[in-house]
Amino acid sequence: MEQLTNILSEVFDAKLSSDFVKRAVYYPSMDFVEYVASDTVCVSDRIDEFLTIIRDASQENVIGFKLKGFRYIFETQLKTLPEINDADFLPMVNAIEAILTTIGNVLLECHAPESEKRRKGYEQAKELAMRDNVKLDDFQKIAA
Amino acid sequence: MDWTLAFTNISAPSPCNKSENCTLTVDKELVALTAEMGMNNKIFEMFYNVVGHPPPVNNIGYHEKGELKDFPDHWAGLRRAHALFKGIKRPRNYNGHAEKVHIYVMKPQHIYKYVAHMACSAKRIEAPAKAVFLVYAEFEIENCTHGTILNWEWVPADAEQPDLPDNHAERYDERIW
Repeated sequence: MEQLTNILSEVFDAKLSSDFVKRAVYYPSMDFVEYVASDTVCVSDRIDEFLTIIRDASQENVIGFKLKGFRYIFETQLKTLPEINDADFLPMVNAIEAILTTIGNVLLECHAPESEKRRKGYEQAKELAMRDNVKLDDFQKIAA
Repeated sequence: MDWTLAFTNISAPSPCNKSENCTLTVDKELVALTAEMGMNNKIFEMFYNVVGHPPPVNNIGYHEKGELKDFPDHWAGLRRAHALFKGIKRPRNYNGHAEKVHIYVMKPQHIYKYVAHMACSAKRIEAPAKAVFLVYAEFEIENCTHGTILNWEWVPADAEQPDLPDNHAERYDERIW
């Protein structure tokens, strides 16, 4: 991997970690927070405009999630939460619950198959966020 | 190989005219974050499925040595895009730039998977079944001659149109070609 590592450094000023890092990361270019539990081939399954569930190549096992339009979520739902003030990290469970607060009535009242998929998607994301204690560091700079 | 040139002049069909080419650059911050996280498989996707070059690791081709007629394969990356959509239906960057995002659609036969192997760390395997590969790009000027790649990923394929992303009508504003 030495040649590839050097190319990443020279072209992108990027440093390839020798180990996979398991944490939530904010990607500014497309404004989303993503968490993936393992370094493998992923298939991203859109649940709705806010949530994507990430599965392995077989598309059977949930291995991550993506919260999209994260600045919008942060500005409208998260930054006024008391537990966020002066916090060093943002638990992703809080972010998922904030989205559910926004769309919750739609999920509760509608029993169409699409709503079942949405409900299940949010359950899976929340379960993974809790199981892996997924947190976003340096979240304050999202609003900057 | 001039890798700086390779990543700043990625050839792709132009949004304005599919039979003409445009050039794309990969967003540096995206690559830096992906590398920092040690996401080798996503890095391999960038080299092979986006740019069209097998990952530059030692002994590349080692695992495929029984398939010489097919290796090295000249997949051609983004130049093989067969569909293009524009505008993703979600809030982005909090001020509605989602309509500027273009989504290239491809269906590569292979991917390179990271393997912890002493001889070679990249092994070519079949692409995920019932999935298509998307590359997201943004063009700043109307003539679409140059743009920036913002992300890439595999998504489930549409059941009725397996060369397109699932629910593409609900996901994107319009199909360009």
